Amino acid sequence: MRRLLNPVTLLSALVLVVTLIAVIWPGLLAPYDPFDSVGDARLEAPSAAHLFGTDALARDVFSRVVYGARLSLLAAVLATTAGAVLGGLVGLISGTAGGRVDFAIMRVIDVMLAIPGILLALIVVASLGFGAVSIAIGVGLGATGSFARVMRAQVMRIRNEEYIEAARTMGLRRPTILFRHVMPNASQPIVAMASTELALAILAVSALSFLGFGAQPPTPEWGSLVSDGRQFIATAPWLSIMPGSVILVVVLAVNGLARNLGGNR
Amino acid sequence: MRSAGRLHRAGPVLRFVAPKVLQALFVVWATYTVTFLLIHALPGDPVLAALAVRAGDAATTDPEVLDALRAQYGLDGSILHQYVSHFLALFRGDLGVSMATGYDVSDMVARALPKTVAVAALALVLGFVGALAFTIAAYLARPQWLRGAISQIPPLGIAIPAFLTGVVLISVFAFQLGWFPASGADGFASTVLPAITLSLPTGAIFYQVFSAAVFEAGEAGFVRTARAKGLSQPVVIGRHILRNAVLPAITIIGLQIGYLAGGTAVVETVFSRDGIGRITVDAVLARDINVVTGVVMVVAVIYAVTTMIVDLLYGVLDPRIRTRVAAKPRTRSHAATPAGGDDA
Amino acid sequence: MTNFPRPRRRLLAAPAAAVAAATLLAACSGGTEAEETTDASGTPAAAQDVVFALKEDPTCLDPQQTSMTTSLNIGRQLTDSLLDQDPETGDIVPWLATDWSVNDDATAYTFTLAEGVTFSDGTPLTSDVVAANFDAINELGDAASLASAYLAGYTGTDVTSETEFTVSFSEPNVQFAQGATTMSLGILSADSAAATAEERCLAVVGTGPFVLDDYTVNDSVTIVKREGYDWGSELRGHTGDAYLDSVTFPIITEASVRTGGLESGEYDLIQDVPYIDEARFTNDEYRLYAAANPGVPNSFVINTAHGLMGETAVRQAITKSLDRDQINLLTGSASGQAPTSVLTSSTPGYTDLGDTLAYDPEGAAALLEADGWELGADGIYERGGETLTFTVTAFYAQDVLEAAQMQLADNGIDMQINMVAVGDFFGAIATGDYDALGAGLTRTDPDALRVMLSAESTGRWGIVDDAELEALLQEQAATVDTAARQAIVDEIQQIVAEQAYVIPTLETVQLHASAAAVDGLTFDSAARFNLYDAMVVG
Repeated sequence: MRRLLNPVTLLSALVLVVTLIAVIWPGLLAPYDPFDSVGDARLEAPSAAHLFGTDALARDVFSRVVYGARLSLLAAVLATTAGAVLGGLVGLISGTAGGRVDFAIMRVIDVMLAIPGILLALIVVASLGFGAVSIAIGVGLGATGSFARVMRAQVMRIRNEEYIEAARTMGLRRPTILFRHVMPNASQPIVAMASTELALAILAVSALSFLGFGAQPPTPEWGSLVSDGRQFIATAPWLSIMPGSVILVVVLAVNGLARNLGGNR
Repeated sequence: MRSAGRLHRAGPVLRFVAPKVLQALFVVWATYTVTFLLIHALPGDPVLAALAVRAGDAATTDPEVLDALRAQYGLDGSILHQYVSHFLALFRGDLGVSMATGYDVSDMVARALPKTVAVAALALVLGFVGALAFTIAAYLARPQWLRGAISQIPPLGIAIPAFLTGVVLISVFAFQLGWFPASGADGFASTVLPAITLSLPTGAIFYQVFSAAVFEAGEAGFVRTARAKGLSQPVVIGRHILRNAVLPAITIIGLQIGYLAGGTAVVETVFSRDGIGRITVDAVLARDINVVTGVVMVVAVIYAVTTMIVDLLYGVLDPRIRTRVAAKPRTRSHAATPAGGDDA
Repeated sequence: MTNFPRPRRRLLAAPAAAVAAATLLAACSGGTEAEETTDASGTPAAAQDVVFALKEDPTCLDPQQTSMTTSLNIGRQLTDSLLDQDPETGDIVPWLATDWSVNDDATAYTFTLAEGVTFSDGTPLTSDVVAANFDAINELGDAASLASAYLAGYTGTDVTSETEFTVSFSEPNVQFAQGATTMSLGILSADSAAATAEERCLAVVGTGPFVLDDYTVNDSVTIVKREGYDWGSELRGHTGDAYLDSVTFPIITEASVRTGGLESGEYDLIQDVPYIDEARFTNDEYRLYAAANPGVPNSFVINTAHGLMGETAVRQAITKSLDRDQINLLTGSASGQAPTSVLTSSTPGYTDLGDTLAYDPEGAAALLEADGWELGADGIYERGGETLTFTVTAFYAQDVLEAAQMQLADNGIDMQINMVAVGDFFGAIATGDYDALGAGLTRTDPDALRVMLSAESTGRWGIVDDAELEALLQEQAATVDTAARQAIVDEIQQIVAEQAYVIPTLETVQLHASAAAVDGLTFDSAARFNLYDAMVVG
């Protein structure tokens, strides 16, 4: 119970609750229409009326950041889920099957790890078209390799544990053992890893949208908001720094909770 | 290739080295195959994309012209033919010609690689030194809360988006203070800000590994013994703790390289630097097949060779490994080994 | 003739497209004449080395092949052309050719070359070299799209003597004289003309006032003064060598870095100042150069064979729903103006159609309602379950599109933006799969509309089924008489604007800036800069 009272955890949870509200009901948090100008106030500095200032088309940047949460975070969640599920399955098969299958799969994983993740994601995005879903698939594919490795290691460890041996001697069929006993036990580290990976995925997704592979305008995304503001860095640095800081805070919050979930390693 | 010179060596060494060399070769070949397949699955017309880059709003979409260009770039043969001929050319070190710009891909890579390596190397050094400093500071920090506070700082490095760091560094150190150039790849000064940007996440990764190793070692018997023998604090740190930190640090260098290779795409964009990352982003957008393949191959070779050397080094540094059957030493904490696929 | 930004979305708020003939604003201390600041011997006092930050890699330095403004700008310093054009009057004057004439149907141009002109490799300029240049361009074809367009119908060059030759065409080529003033038809040495297209991209040898010293791809270009240069056209401010000893062009893709560098003194000149920073350089410490693009302004170029775009009322409602002054205010340059025709105000042949393109939301509503459209619950027009929506495919000027999108939404029209990579933009053109393209076409001649809209054009963007317009487009291209051609061009603009085949959004202005100490930068009729008269004062 003491863990719940940890101020870091509390703060992280608070940030994530607010972020979740932004994802589900952005209208509750955003004071303005993120797609329309608020008059002629272009590139205004942050103020009480416009917490993050206004952009070159006189739109409220805070509202755009709020509305940007949905795509940015859903893409990251999708990427992590895809990576964990796919990687988990591959690792499970590899670890269970052993022998040549294991060898072949692991060599493929080696290759996946040898291609820089961002490049893999770039190629995926280029072939599927720009957008949050392609980015999610690209990033998820990049994370698959490491999930598979961890899963495989877990499976190999558990395989030789006594209760598995016991189940085998009891005459349970292989799939039954696999799904009843091996998978639940091996999944724990995967879940812990996924929370860490989620933070990395948020960063990767925003990096890709920063590089210009994100959703079509005027749909806001965190990375593209930073990128849009970059040309005004000398005159209006808050345009980049504010959305960038929001990414940082959310990533820290995810990490903060992840460390607690993972037993504070 | 590499093992050839060692053939005369004794059997055990060969048995240790040969699989690692084979594995490196395999990674390179398979990477080529995967990249080739992925790139040829790209929609869009590489010829048209190349033409548009050069001709701008005067680009033609006349099908006859496009067919002629396709033939000129060798894109009219069968996929298998292209696969084989391209691979053979790669073996001769011929990476082909960029369709968009007409430059030799080998030249482009040779030009850009040193600039990227300069930043990446400096980032590794800064990250390593910074992580070490934080590790020692945390080790020496006395009140428990201070140690806790110090150890909270390095993990921030992995949470900061590289573009945010870059943008802040540019506005403070380039525009306001004028200490470093905001852009370009000219001289050492221009590598400083990009390297700092990249060193934050690499440093955070190093720190995780170091602190795990050092604090375990700090509790380990031999450190207590050393201290009991009356060895001074610096000696304990230097002789026992650092040595324990270096070994795991080496193992994650391969991963760090994969990470850096991705990270440079963002950093080179923020700092308007010429480099591998920027070339890649442009090439993917322009469907510049040869450039993308060339870059991936170069990165894959670097990665494979580094991994191989690290494995071999590890064997030299830690004789126990040589006897182990396990394929590769891995760091124990997954948190310390971020996926090669996540770059920020 | 473009100036495409790097094919990366998001970073492209500063509209692209080439520079062109136009207003030159020296928003600065005022015109210090170059001559005033030179000392008695005619040479300037300060160190004559300048750093000119470019916004992108020139990719190909050969002015005959490239269409990028950035590399055409460099090509201008390295090469001279047969003729020169006064940007103020449009008059064509001699340059490398001391004399020239054209036959009545514009199918044969005869030139006489100046004597004593040499290339920087020491070889002399002769009729044979010029002939080799034109033959090579003709052979390059679409790889030299701009230059070969000026040579449309080229049948060959008859060399009559060392200094005299006649260029012939199979059909009237009215544009050639103007084309011969551009760097696209800048004359290269015999060796350069004979080299492969790829080799020429990396280095060319011309007769120009500067010589290429170094080109490091994606990093920088350096040019140095040509010793013994003495054949500038009469439009130049002085004779003899260029004032500047060297010009270094670092490639700085980040606009904020260029502007920051100009302020810190790292750069003396910078290309492409973001409009938003215009005010920062409107003072005594800097000179600001504004040059409006000629040709078709940034527009929605319509494919009438796609979606709702075939409906005249819809197209006209879109054009009436755009408040172009507001778009210019939000996304344009302070020294620019809203488009008032389907040609920019700086294009020869431009006609003011401000009334046709006026902001008229009531008129738009009336048109739509007469056609059975009704405002739906979400504020967007609907008709029988169909929503009034269209998609604009583009690869630059995202901010202009977003501004237009906001206005159209306010007036009940849903506009979707499809930002793509440059290759995919032309891919869409190749397949005809688009409602509208968001782009401008930079040309120094009203023929730009034919290039864009004619069914015969290989660079056709707008797909319209209008026989009357097609006939007019062809007719203007073959009409030599200026007044007669103007009448046709007026009619074309009227039809295109009224039928909303092209819906203009913004007149793009290219902004360059320099430190006040850099004087004498001049621009040609297409607003590409010339560094020959430039110098550092004080």
